[in-house]
Amino acid sequence: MKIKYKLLALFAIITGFTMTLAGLIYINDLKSLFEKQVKMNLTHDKEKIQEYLKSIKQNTQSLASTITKSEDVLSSLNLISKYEDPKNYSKETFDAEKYGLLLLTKQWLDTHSNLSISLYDNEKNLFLIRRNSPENRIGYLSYTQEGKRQFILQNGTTLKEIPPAKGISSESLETLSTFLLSNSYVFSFTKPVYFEKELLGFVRVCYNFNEKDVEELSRLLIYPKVFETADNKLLFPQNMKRFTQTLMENPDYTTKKNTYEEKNNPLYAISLIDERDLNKSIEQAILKVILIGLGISTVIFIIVYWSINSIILGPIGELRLGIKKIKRGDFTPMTSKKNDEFSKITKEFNALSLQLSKNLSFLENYKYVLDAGNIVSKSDLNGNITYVNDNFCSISGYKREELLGKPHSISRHPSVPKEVFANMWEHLHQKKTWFGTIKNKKKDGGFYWINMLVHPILDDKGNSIEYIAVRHDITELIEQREQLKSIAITDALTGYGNRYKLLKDINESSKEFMGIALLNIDQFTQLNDFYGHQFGDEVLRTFGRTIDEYLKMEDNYSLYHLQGDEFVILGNAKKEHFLQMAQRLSEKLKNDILHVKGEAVTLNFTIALSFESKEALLTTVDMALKIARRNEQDIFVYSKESSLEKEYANNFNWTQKIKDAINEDRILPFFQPISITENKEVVKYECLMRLKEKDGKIITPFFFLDIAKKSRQYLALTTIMLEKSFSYFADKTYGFTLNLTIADILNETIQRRIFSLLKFYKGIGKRITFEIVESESIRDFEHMRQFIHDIKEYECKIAIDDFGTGYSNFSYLIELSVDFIKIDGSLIRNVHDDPNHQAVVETIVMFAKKNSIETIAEFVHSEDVYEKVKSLGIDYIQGYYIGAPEVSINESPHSSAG
Amino acid sequence: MIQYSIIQGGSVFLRTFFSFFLFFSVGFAKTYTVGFAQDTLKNDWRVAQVNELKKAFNPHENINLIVKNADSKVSKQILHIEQFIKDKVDFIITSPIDQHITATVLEKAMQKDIHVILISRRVQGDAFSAFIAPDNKLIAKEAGKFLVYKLDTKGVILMLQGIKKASTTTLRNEGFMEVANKYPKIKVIKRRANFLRNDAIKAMEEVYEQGVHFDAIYSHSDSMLVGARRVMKRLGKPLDIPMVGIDYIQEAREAILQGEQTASFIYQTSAKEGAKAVVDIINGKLPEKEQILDTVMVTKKNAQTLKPIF
Repeated sequence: MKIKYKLLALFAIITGFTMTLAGLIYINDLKSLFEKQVKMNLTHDKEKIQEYLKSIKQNTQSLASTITKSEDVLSSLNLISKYEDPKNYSKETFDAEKYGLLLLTKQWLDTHSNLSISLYDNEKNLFLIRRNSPENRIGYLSYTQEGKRQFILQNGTTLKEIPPAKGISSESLETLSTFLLSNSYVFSFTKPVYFEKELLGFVRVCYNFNEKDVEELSRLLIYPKVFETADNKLLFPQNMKRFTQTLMENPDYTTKKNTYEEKNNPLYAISLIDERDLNKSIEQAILKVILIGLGISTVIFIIVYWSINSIILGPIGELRLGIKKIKRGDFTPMTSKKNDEFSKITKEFNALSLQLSKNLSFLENYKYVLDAGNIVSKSDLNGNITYVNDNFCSISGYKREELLGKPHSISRHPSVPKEVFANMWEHLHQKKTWFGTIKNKKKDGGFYWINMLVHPILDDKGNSIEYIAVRHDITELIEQREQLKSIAITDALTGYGNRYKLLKDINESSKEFMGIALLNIDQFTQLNDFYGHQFGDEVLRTFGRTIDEYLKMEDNYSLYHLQGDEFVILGNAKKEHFLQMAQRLSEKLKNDILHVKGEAVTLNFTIALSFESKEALLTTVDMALKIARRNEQDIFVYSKESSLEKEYANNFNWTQKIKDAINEDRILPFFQPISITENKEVVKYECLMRLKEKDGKIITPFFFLDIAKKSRQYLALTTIMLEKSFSYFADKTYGFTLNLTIADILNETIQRRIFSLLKFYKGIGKRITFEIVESESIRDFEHMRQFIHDIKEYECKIAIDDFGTGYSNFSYLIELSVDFIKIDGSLIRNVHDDPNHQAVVETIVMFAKKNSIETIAEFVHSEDVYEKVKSLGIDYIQGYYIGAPEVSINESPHSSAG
Repeated sequence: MIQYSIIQGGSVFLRTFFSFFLFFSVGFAKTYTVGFAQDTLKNDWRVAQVNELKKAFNPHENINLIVKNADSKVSKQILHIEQFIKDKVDFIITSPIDQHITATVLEKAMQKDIHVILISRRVQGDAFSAFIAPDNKLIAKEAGKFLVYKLDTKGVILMLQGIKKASTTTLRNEGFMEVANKYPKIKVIKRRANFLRNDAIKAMEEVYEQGVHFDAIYSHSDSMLVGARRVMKRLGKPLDIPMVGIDYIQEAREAILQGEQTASFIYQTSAKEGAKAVVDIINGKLPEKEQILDTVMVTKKNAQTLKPIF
């Protein structure tokens, strides 16, 4: 709903509510006013009735008093009470007296009065009545000549019956009592008459409250009344009839009951209250409220409508226009004439819009950079493509229309294992960024390698709404790496797998049966010496080919050329098959004459075999070869019995030796200089570990490093190296490099030690390069990155050691912000005359230069190598050509050769 | 209830002081209270009677006179007498309205050693110390003879009667009738006017309204005759018919002198004599129990010389 309608609805509700409330209050006031009026009227009526009754009572009492004060009454009572003798009744005296009294009472009561007077003698006998109502009874008691009672009326009529009269009880004396008599309510006051303390008789005055009084009262009262007695007996039913008729016919009337004269005979007055005026007033009030409400509503409606439009909707409209402009990309600020909240909002909005435009252009730049340098795509949560940039299209060979809406799997290469994607989805579902290097398929069926980062884009609530994938093409790198790899694992001489290939194959093999055969040509050095190296090489090539030819007939065997005169056959066969095969091969070769460059050559050789576990395969076969040589056996198969004891002794020996060396401080750093290639100037030294034996002989770690690792002394060795190197170079100006394995870096103790040393030797960090030895793949990348980040705080540098073999990975170089690449010695050693090695080194250097990484060549042992390295553009050199590792450094840096 | 005291005027203090003075000057002389239960004071004769009594007691400072007016009502007079008895007066003087009932109450007084002096009327029995009155019956006889003589033994006589049951009325009727009954051609018409002027006016108006013819008037009192004459004058009736009244009051004297009334009989109030009886008793002298007083007929011839009783 629009704000306008909402506000109007709100206003309508409020107005309606207010008016209803006002109306209710007004009506309530009217009612209470009316009730107040009714109450006042009822009070007025009650007071009037009370006044009336009071006057009745007063009249009654005062008349009784007047009568008793009358001497005539006193004397008559005296006469009648004391001198009257019914038996000897003197009519002349007593009737005359009573008649006189009857006439006397007339002065107090006129013929219409409701009052009545009764006179009693001192024995409480009624002897005179003057009563107008309910029946006209005026007369006195007399006696016949026979002494019989009779009643003589005023008009002379004689009644034999004496009219009934209420007796006099002592309680009723001098008090105003009430009683009911037919249709009237009677107030009665009886006063005894005394003459000098002598009781002469009684005077009773009654007031007969009847219809006449009701009529009289109705002139004084506001509400018509009916009177009721205790037993709900209506005093004047004919009045009531009118009354109830009104009540029945008109619902606008109500009644109200009041009590009067509560003593022994309660008298109630029921008021008939006319509520017609009230109800009419309420009706009018409701009408008024509605009319006023409508009037006010109309006025307020117009005002509110105008206000909403000018105060709220206008500015909101302007804001909306502003937002629309921003949507169109127009960030021109809005203007606000007014000085209200909207103008503040407008200002804020302008600021926001400015910020937004900045951010947008910033983002645009980012996007441009991202798009320009990367292959970018976005997808919905199901992996369906929602965006691709030009790079994506061009590399994949698809048109954009062919990609949008399609699943990302369109570019999936079948060679990529499902697990990779499962891992990626797992990361994404956990809202984590995923990194990976994968192979993608092109439209034409070709492929390309990418380094990919997939990142979930979250909404403000943290829920994933889409995914963005940023990739860069590393096909070239991968291909180069593959090439490198293949070079690295291929023996340059024979073209068979080298030691690395063998190690790799052993490692990667999952075959159930695995055995190894080591073939060593006997006295090959002599052959070399005799015919020369080139001939020797040709012999090796021919010998290899011969074995290879033979192995082609057998399945599951591969040939490797390790070095010099050593060939290895790795087989996935049962021990007995392998052994038979080795024996047949031995037979054949023994009888075979090799023709090399026109020369016939016969070779003797030894075959050592081992069928131990993967890990022990090479060492055991070496051991077997040594044993075979010692025993002068052509074929020897390694068995635990033959070597176990010695092996153990050897290991134990070294463990103890290391322990002693540590305890006796015989672990030393040796320092080998590293120079700038261009001018051979020594700029830093590599710190290398050496063990000094008790007799002063220096041992390289080659012999004890594996054992140190196994016996858990490696940590101590690293620590000693770190401490001694830091300490040594603390007062020097040279830079120095330290070797760290990934395990070292991931070890908290070592990390702590490194940082505490860095802190201790302030400013030393910029002279340090940590060489990370790639002896294993990096599993905990996060940790590594953190470590590198932290040491870079101290301006330390990172080098990757032995690059070009083993686990080196181009992507690591970028990931780990590497400063130097140390190209593996095996590639440098004969780079001057091995074009394959040369190609690999070139690739590495090219890559390094592209990524601003400096390169170091080690094993530079001769002038030839130096020249080649220099021509390849390697930045630094290290090796015997510059200097061997020494226990101390030459303090005059520029005195070295060069 | 109207009370007359012999000591009149002055403040309460003076009165008290005066009483003390009297007491000591007489020297331990007993003070006597006399209660007079008068019939009415509407009647001039009765007023004169009270005045005479006061006059008679005036010299006797040790006698207090209390006068009560019964307004012609028996009951009231009895009440007054009872009041006197209760007040323990020494003497009760009265002129009883009802000769029967009054006798009863007077008996009570006598039993309480109160001396009862009856003046102008008596009661049945002898419950009194002294009765003093002119002879009403004799007066009535004389009046009868005079009118019979005036009418020449034939004609209608209108009789205005006094209070019913009063001895005076009875006797004034009896005496007259004794004479009138001797003459057959004399007819008597009786009308009651209770000794009162106003009642007489009413009675006369009735008579004329009824068209009753009469030739002479005999009134039990001069007062009633005054009222009757007023009606006759108003109606323009001739006033020269024989009219005889009793009591001889001032108005009667004037009427006789002007020729509007034929004759009147002096009827003494007996007050002087009653007072004498009281004084006699105080002085230890027993008064005569029944005293009849003289009467004189007054006509135009002697009216000039005879003073009326009031």
